[in-house]
Amino acid sequence: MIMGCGLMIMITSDNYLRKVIGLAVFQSAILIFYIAIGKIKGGIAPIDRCAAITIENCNYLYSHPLPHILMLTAIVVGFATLTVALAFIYRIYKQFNSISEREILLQNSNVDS
Amino acid sequence: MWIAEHFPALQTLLPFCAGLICALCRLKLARIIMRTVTAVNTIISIYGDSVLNDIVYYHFGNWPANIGIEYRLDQFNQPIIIYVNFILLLSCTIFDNLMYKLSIKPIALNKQNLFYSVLLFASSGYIGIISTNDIFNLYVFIEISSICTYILIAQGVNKNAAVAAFDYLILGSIGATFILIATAIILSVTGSLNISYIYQYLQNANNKNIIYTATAFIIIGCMLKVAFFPMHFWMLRAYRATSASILIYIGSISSIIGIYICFRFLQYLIGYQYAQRLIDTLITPLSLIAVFVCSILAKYANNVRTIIIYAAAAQTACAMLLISLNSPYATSLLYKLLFVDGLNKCALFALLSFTETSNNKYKPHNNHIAIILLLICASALPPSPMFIIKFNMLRLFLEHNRWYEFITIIIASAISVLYYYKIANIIHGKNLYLPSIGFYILIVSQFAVMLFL
Repeated sequence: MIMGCGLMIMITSDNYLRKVIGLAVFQSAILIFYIAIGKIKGGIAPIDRCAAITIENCNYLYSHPLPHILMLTAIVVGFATLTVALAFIYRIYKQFNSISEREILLQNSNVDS
Repeated sequence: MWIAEHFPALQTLLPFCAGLICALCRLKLARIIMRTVTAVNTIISIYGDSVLNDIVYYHFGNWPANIGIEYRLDQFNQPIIIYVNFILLLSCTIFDNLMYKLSIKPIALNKQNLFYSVLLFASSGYIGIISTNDIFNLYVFIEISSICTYILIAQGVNKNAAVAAFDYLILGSIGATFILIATAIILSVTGSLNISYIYQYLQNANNKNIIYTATAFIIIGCMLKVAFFPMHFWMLRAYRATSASILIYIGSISSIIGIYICFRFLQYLIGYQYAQRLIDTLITPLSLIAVFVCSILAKYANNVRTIIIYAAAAQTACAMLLISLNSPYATSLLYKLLFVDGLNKCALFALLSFTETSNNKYKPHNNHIAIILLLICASALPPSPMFIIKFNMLRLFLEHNRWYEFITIIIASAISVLYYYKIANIIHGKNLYLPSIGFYILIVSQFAVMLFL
């Protein structure tokens, strides 16, 4: 559902900034999906509880840490993409004085005609 | 020898480190570093090809396959890496002047070295995509190369370059995220990210419906990345608005890498038995429509750039038709088609860049022999390598009783002669100074591909 919302925001928005927000929402949905598939019934977060202290019976069931690691990478990648997208929006604004897709297409069609 | 042991890592990371160094240098030093590193990388990849016997598995940090990340290089991968390095070498040595005039000059003086830096990162990303045997590593390299490609496309004098690059960014991110969803599904089913392990697991698997879902996501992600027919609009806008000189690199590499990813997913990761239904109902009809429609649109296009873009889309659809045939001969033919088609595109985009720069410095020099040879090679007329490949493709379709594909390729080839003739007409009136050595190298390398692969 979150993925669908993100896709709809990206495709139907007129404002470029809202498209970028849609991209962020879309990628958050994937994040949640990955963490969800790593969850084990009765498992806690994959952070070692017994590392600092010595306890006799230290048996915890941990959720799978791999999806968490993968999603850290994906968050960084998503952040890089967001940065580049914002740089493009700034450049588009400097050239066209607008960040509305409709207005920019109108300006282009006026130039063509 | 340590290069023989570590060449998989070297050929991926050398451009990456060089890109970092280029970001800190001035333009002249950055250019020298770029040329040196690209030449060295080409030599390392050729040496690597001579050293590898069958398949080389390279484990990063000596962590064994299922736990660590592994690179897999075989007779199919390594020549593609040589090709990627070769195109970059050509772009930064022979076509460097063009690249400077059309792409680098508009950039602010104190940031011009960053262009070479981004080009090297993109190259590193593409080589990583080809080498890796881990799905998530594949996604990371896809994103690295895509971000660099978005930045490269946004360069140039055209006002719309940034708009086109933004559109490409949105659609490219959707495609990459679909591939990520498919990775999640495959991880949940198999518990592993290693492509070889996943392939073995899926051959014996019981839970087939979820694998069909993963296949669908992967194919749609690849279609977005490759600019396959219904999703080709970003490519049209991006390639129209960007500077022609950067298309010499991007145009010849990104679609080939996209088709390679698609092929690798279908053959080495999932296996044809899961994808057969999707191929028969979706990919084959779309490819047929794409070949036909793109050829006709190329025939009625107005300028050279649009003709070449639609020709590229039609060739991509031809390659997808070959992928949908499940036979080893089709694989070897696809392999040759990718190289020859890529070299053709590189030369065509170089021709486009020459037509768009005004060389007032040089005397008009009517060297049309190189152009005519190039157009013969691109339009698949008899002595060219493309003709041999298309002939074998038609023979293959007849053997498999695929009549629709046979007729479509014949019609598309006939139309392609017409639109390349149109390009020849448009260019004929212009006085172009072409240092034709680049074109001759590209044409000769096509024949070399046919002989040696």
